Amino acid sequence: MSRNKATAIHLSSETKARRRFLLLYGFFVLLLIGLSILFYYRSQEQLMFSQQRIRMMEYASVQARRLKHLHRRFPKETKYPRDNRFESAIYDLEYQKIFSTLTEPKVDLHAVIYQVGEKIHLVKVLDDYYLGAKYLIIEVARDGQWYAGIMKRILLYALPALLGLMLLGIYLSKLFVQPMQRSIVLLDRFIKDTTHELNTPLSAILTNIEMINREEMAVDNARKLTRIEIGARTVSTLYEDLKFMVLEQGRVTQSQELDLLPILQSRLEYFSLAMEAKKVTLHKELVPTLITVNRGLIIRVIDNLLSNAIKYNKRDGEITVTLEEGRLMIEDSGIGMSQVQVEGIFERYSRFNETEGGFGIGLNIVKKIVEHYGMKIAVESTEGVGTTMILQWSKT
Amino acid sequence: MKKIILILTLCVAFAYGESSFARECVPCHRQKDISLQKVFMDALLVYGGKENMKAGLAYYFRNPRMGTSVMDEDFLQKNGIKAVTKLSPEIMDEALEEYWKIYTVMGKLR
Repeated sequence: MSRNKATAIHLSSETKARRRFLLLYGFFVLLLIGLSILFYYRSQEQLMFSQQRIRMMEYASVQARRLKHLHRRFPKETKYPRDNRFESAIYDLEYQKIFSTLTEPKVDLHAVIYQVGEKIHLVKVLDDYYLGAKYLIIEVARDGQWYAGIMKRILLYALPALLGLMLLGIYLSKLFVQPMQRSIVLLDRFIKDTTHELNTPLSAILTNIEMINREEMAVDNARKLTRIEIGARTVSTLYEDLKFMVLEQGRVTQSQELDLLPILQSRLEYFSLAMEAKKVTLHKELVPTLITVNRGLIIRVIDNLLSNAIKYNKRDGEITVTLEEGRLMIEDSGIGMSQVQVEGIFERYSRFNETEGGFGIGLNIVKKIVEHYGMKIAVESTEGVGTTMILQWSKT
Repeated sequence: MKKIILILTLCVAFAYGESSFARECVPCHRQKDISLQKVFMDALLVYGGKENMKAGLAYYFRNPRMGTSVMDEDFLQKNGIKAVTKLSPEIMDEALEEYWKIYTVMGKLR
């Protein structure tokens, strides 16, 4: 399936969906590998403990015998028995330390065998409390080679597994967005084909409407003709958007310093019929303002902002257009939008209101042009009150 | 009346600097030639901790029987069962505390 110029630029929602999928996938892969490492480490640790335990239990028996001996000779003999194979400590029934030679002083008297730092502790509960000791702790050094071996094996298996699973994730993410990509390609192709077919009949309609002498027509017919003209102009605006999107986007455009005032006035005149039809009152505060842009592109921006202000306005509503140095503000008294809707209005194919027509490409075009010229566009909207679109650019 | 006697006894004891343990335990053990150290080590073997030992010995002093003693049969046959204590709980606790401090293993091993 070939892609035209428009489809080559991926939808931001498609990228978002893919990013979200990869994030979620990555999280679960890391969780899975992390848990696998933990279980593997714990099982190997238990294996090592079971090997160490036999030896340490022998040491504990030896030490218990020595404690018994010392208990009988105390206080004549007070030297705590030591052994160069291990360190030890004794705690009483109330967990009070009686004596300790441990190098790792942190003990867990409720455990049987555990690792603390570089040492392994074995806790033996004594039957007779010689010297008052209920708990005898034997400490030996952890096998350094065992630890290095475990870490080496973990890295050897976990890293390739992580790499493999991440590659699988990328492949899956492609599969995941494929239906979406296919729909976009089809939609774009449809729009491109339709755009080509629209131009000739639309031009014919608009030219012929202008040629008709309304003064010779009956009032009722003149009103009907006005409605036809509004409809044709709406289609014309849509056609210009589609043409920009599928044919002109990405082309190198010639920018020049323009006075925005006459352009804006001409566009307001162009939309005046649509405003009249909806009984929308226009308020203007316009001053001559210079801007360096391509004429066709700035007309796309103005047309889209004005057509939205009319389309989403209420009957007998108001539109206030303010043009001042570095700023164009179009304020409507329409139904307004929620914060969530405001955040998504520049998304391509995003339509704010299903009851109104359109492809949902107008504001996406506005955003692209605004970004192209390094301008800024802000949206202020309150549900039930209206929306204000503020276009700002650096003063020339 | 009993309280007054107890307070007077304590005042005299303090005046002469003699502890409850030295006053209430040592004379009798000395007279019967029973080593306080040996008794302590035998009790420690069974009770294994300060509070447990104090509670166990206090119970034995109030209920002296073969079944509540930690001493072996030979010792009991030779020395018999002691009489029920007349010491108040406060005095007994003080004496046992002193006993633990003097004979404890903690801090004496090297």
